[in-house]
Amino acid sequence: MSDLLPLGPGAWAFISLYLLSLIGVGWVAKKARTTDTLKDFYLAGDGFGLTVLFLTLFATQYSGNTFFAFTGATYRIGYAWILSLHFMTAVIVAYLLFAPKLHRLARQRDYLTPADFVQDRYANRALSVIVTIVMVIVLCNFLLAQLMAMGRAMQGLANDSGGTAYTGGVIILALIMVIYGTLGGMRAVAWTDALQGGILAIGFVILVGLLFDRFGPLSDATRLIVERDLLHGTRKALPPDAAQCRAWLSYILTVGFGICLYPQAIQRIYAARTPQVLRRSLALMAFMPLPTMIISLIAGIMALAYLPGLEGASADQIFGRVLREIQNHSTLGYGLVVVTLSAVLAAMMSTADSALLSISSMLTKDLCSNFLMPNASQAQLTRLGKKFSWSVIVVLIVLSLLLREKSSLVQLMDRKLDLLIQLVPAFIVGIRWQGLRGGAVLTGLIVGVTLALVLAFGEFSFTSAGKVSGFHPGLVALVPNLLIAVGGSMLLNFKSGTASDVGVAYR
Amino acid sequence: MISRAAPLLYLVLLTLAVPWYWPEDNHAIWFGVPGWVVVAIVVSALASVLTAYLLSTQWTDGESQADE
Repeated sequence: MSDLLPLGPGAWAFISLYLLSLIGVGWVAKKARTTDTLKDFYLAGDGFGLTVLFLTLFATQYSGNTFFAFTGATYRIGYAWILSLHFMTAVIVAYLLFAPKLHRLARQRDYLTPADFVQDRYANRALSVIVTIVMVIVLCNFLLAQLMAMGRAMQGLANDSGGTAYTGGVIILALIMVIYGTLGGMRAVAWTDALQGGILAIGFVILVGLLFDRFGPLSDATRLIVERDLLHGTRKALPPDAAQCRAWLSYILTVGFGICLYPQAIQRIYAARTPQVLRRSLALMAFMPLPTMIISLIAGIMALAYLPGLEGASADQIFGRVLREIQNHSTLGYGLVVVTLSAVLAAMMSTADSALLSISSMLTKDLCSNFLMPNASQAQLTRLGKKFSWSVIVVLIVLSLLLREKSSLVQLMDRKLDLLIQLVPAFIVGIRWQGLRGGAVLTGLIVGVTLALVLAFGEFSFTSAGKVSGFHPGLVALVPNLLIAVGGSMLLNFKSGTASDVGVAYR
Repeated sequence: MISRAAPLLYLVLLTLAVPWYWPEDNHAIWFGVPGWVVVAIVVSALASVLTAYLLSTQWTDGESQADE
């Protein structure tokens, strides 16, 4: 966002008031709490109705950073980034495979964390602990990346190339986030998600209108890009080649199955008040990739046609350039950019706070309550959860400040979806096939996680940029993981004649 | 009926979603965007409609009626 026009005092006052109002939302959410229990704090008690659940699912799947990164990706590779439409739709198709039954079990058996289902399903403590560890590592990395994105966004807003705005941005935004998160728990997080999701949606619909007003019809931009393709031999408007097609398939499967297994996404399934609320929310979510991804595609294509010149990693700054054009174009454009930036900042915070709340719940319930403090009261555990939130955020603030100049290192470490899809057997296969056995799933998971990391970080003749023939390492590692989980279970069931280690819920 | 055919329908949509079948030098422009992009959007819209239909009418958890 370093290309933005400097913001005036009025704009800064608006952004500050908006961000501070989130603490007000946290306070109202605290007042809405009915009991001092983990379920009330982490799953909002009886759960959410249609509007809040839909908007919080939306904010979980689409972060504020999505628009910057996706517009940048379109700018870099052209129309081929329409693949984002497919992988965002694939997420909802993947929910269809397990969310209905998981929701019913969660309501019947009072699940709080993803590992509650795993323990109930497989009665295998080692598997539950490994699942929790994988999820906590993934989320800590995700949260760190979000904090750094918040710092960079503040750096861009303040037009400050030094570290002051970055440091201030990370600390202030993280503090606001942890304050409202620990005040109101899941209610505060979901209500702020709803607020931010709503504003972001309205802002981006107006934004696309202003884009057409500023740059003209999309057909002109397309023709310009095609002409450049023919002149320079690029493929920004031409159909993807074979290598890109393999990458498409890999993205659709990896993102589709990865995002639906985010712990915070699973906890939102638990938090749906009724099956009807969940199914209607997901049915609405099935249509959300169309407007959201098409808007970021249009912004990227307009920029590619009319604002060329950024290469490589700096292409991610293109959304800032587009906003600057809109700021320059009209007073309405200036005002809209201020509102949009506030919502984007808040959307980054809402993505981060969901992850933080989820980490806190897993550390409290899966590790402390189950092993270290089995006799602790619900109120004690809730207080402990809040302390975990503060501790985790302090550690990650320090890390995000230390790693400020090493953002490429953080991106390299970011293998969250490669790791998360290793949980497909435990959650998706396990909920649909009663014969799946905990021991086999655990072995497959360990093999899958190890192989995904080795392929991602190792130097091999058959890998390029951590991918195997264009396929994500996590997707490649999922194949042996699934074979071990399913094949091992079949072998064990054949030997014993019954699935004897199936958990209580499945007997 | 649609519920039982859903896996096959999704497989067909996935096959159509990835534009492997388009000639690599195709320059056709439909409605102001490349033709293969229009097909990708239509396929994605069909996947959304199918998913919303299944979510709205076929609660794949066999015990759904008991929940409602």
